[in-house]
Amino acid sequence: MPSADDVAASVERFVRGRFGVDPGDARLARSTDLFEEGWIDSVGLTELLAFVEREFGVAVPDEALLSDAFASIDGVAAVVAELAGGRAEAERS
Amino acid sequence: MIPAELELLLAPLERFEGVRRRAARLGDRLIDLSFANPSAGERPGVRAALRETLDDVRALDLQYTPTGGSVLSRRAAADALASSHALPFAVRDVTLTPGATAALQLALRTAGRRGGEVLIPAPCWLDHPLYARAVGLEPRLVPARSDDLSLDLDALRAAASARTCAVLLSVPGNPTGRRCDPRTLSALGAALGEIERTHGTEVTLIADETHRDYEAAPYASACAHHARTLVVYSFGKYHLLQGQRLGYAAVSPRHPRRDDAGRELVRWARIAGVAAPTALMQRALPRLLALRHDLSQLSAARALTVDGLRAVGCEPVTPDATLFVYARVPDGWPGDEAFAAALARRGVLVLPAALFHHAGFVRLAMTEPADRLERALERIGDVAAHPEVLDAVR
Repeated sequence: MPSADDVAASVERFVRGRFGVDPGDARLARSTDLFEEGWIDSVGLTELLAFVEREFGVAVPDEALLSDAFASIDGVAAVVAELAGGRAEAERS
Repeated sequence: MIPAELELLLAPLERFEGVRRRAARLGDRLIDLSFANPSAGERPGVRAALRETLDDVRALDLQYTPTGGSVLSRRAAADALASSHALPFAVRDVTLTPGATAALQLALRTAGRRGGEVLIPAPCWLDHPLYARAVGLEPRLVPARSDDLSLDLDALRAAASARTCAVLLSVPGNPTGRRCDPRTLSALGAALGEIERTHGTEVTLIADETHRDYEAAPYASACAHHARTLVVYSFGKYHLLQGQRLGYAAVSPRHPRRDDAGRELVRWARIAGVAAPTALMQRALPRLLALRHDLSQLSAARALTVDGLRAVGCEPVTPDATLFVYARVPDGWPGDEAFAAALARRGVLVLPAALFHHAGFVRLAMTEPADRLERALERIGDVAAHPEVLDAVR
């Protein structure tokens, strides 16, 4: 089961790679609001969502997408880690 | 600093923008029926036309063009207008602009005079009063008839005064989706003539024809009914390439100050820093004019949307033009913005009437394929049936 930190690292690699952000560009922090600060647009979000759902085997509900949490790399990671943990629990029981 | 009166006009749009930005997080789950940005992209042949234009290398083809646009492209637009409007438009009548928004700015400045008022039948396109105010004119919204939202000429006459310098009207109606038939336009022309005589004023009709390509019946232009007319147009809606910013402002060949008005449009473009469209889009213009798109699905989409909305208590204004359906907010909802916000949370974006300086309605754009429209209508029905959802959110 991935930790939130593992997920954050993976999401950050994806965002930097997919959207052409230099690995050394410190302006993109894990707490940066990806949408408000212009790192991702609505089309990019579709790609990010497809990535996390495929990579971590989760289905992100609409409410999570619309929440304040799902705005930064750390926020996305927290949501995904919780979903992945919930899925693992369900599989065990 | 933005003046208070402009802040007021901007407010509904900025509130909606907050709703839209949050809903955009849904990615492709969101069914966006708001600003007519189709998820399937541009119409067939458009991208090829742009590609062919880019490959058609010519000296200075990506460099500056004259203010007002390149003569070849202006003449192509004029020739097309001459054909569609049965009037002898010429190159000097057409000023190319980056979309209709810029064309409106130039038209208002050309039609305006110090202390002038612009009569704007409402509901109206959200930016119409904003632009009028921004160029120093006073916008006066003239309510439509309450029964069918058609043009109220009595109200127009009552709102007119010696300060009236222009009437700004979407032809066909946006957001109502209603065609302006020749009888209505003839009555409008007569009313404008009466206003001019009564008040000793010159009134320019600014006909925003941005959505004229979606009428089943042959298009009736206002130019035939009022000589002092300026036409505003954008290529973005017909070809679904709104982001490419290509349009024009054109002087009717019947305009009593035709040559002066034509020159003024160009001069205002220079003064206001309204650049010509990109060189590439100007050169693409003749190829775009040659495209004819299959709109046969539109009437099915209209029927689906009208029937679907009616079935869930959102009584629509029957559309016969544009890509839009304008429908009443269902009973039990406190208003159009609340309803639109609730729909956004359910993954459907529509525009509330507040953006059109009106109330109690929402506008849907039929720019999505039938399966997505059906899903949107299902979600609208779910939301419409549960106004208590609003209390839960509060």
